Amino acid sequence: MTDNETNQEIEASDIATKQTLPENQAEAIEQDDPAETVVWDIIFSPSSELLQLGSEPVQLFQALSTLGELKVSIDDAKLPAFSELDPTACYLSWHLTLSGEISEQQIKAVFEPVEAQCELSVERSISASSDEHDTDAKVNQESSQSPIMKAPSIAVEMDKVQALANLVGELVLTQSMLSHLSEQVPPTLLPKLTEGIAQLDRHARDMQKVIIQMSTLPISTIFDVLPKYVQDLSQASGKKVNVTTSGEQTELDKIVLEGIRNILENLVQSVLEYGLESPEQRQQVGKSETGTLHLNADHQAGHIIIEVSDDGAGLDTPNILQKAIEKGLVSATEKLSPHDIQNLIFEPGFSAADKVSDPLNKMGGSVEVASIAGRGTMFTLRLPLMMRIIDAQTIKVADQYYVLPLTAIIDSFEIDTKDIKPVSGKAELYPFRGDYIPILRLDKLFNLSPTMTGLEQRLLVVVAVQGQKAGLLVDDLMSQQQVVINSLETDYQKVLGFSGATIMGNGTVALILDIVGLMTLYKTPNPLKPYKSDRGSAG
Amino acid sequence: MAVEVIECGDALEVANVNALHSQLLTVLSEQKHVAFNCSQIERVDTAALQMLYAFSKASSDYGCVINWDEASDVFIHNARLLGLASAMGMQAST
Repeated sequence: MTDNETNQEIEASDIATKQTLPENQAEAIEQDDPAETVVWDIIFSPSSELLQLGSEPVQLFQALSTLGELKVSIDDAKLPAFSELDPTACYLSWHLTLSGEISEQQIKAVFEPVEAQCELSVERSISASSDEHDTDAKVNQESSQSPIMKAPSIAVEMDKVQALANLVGELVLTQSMLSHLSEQVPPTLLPKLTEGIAQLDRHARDMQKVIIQMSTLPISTIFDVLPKYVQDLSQASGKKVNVTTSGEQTELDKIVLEGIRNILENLVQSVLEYGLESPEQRQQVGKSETGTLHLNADHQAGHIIIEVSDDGAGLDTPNILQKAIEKGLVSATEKLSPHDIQNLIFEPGFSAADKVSDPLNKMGGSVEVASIAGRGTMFTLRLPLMMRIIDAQTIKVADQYYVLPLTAIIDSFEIDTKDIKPVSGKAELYPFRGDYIPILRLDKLFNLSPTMTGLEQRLLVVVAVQGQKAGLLVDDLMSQQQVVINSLETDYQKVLGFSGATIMGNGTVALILDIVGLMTLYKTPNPLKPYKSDRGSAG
Repeated sequence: MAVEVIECGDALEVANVNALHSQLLTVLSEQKHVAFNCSQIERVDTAALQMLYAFSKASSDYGCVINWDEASDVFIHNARLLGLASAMGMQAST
């Protein structure tokens, strides 16, 4: 294509676009001016041979993402059943929204190598002006739902969505109960009953998906705007800070979205004000003059966990203790660990109570802080999710049954005793995929009397959460099923190592293991003694 | 329901997707939960991600759970770039 042809094409495109735009917008694109922020709607429908011809959408989208903020949605309408899939054919189409100081010419140049192998539509977005679009939003935000056609919507009170979520929980429990009862059904009736239960399971899962889609948004909705907020604060304070995020796609209930945003703003403001040192102070203690503030989100057994960590000066523990004594929160003679003292900042009388812990408690959540002087601070916010159903593996330890989130399990196998490496103290390590992982003997951890003598008969269940791996030594793996998480805090209290309890198919109660808590319990010399789950045979 | 561990190696590309497709068809017929070990992946292309997305959809229909065990940065980046990561349920386990 010659330069002349390129220019003619741009002019023709501009004329066509102007005919469909209001006058003020049409004037704004009198020239193809990349000096202003423009939002482009791109529909990319490759031919089925695209991938076989060596063209690669990943590279195209990567190139687009260097031009501006890119949002990607898929259209999988042409995707066949998995058994009928030709893995080398391209079935997906994409709707891309690209915003930035970008010209149509730049976008078409990216697609030029594949223009004969696709249908491409590049149009200036009419619905989103540059003012409406948040230019600080992150690149590559994805959505699995196609925004090409916006479906009609109705407003529904969140209480009703919560009621629906609770009913799905009941449905899961009923399904679990029926599944357990099916073991006692005569063999002649079993196939029909099994089929019916499997169908019930599929419907319950579909309902969960719909409710989650209705009631949640990714936390990127908040994480995307916080760096700008931090930047404004840091400019005002003269401090330098680099904000990083992870877990942006973690789903958060819409009902708590605004409340969490306010809490996170208060927290990062507090970090900027008290936690991070000035560039000069940081240099004096050998740190880089720019501090780091990291935001992370993750799901853990029916909860969303949000961590706000910094590499600042850490909390002033003696000062917190002094203030707590003055406020009458603790006595001067009370023996408190540094962790206990640090968490006094969430007690009444401290500003963090009004700004963080009180509003979080009202949402059913909790907050903890851990800080090391000179190294930094981490705030961990924990909030229950509306949909508190997880896929779980029931395990047997001694004469007890516990429940393990299935997503945490990465492998399970019979233990080979000769591979166990004892290390100093009482720790034991086991080789796993070129690394060594700690063995957590759950019977010892929970003070249970072992019912099996030899290690050879036991299984090692390898779990991984938040980058940590461990091998849980269990007596047996039982059934896998969905379980509804009930909070221990609501009716009892938080117990380290357990994220909740659930009712099993046979009506007994089993405790749900919290992997991160278990690892803490394992590392703690004098752990709190957790209580046992109900005795009984788990389905 | 048993968990099948699939070792993905360091590359999942159009050149080797047919073999993996056959393997996954067997896994799907056995209705197993699947843990993909994607930790070593250095190269992953659209063909592979499209197939894994189709597999995750099919597995979901059977009530099977997929665990993307500590997926490598490249794997997560490319899945996000194609708008597939959330739909594949990667967030829950990575």
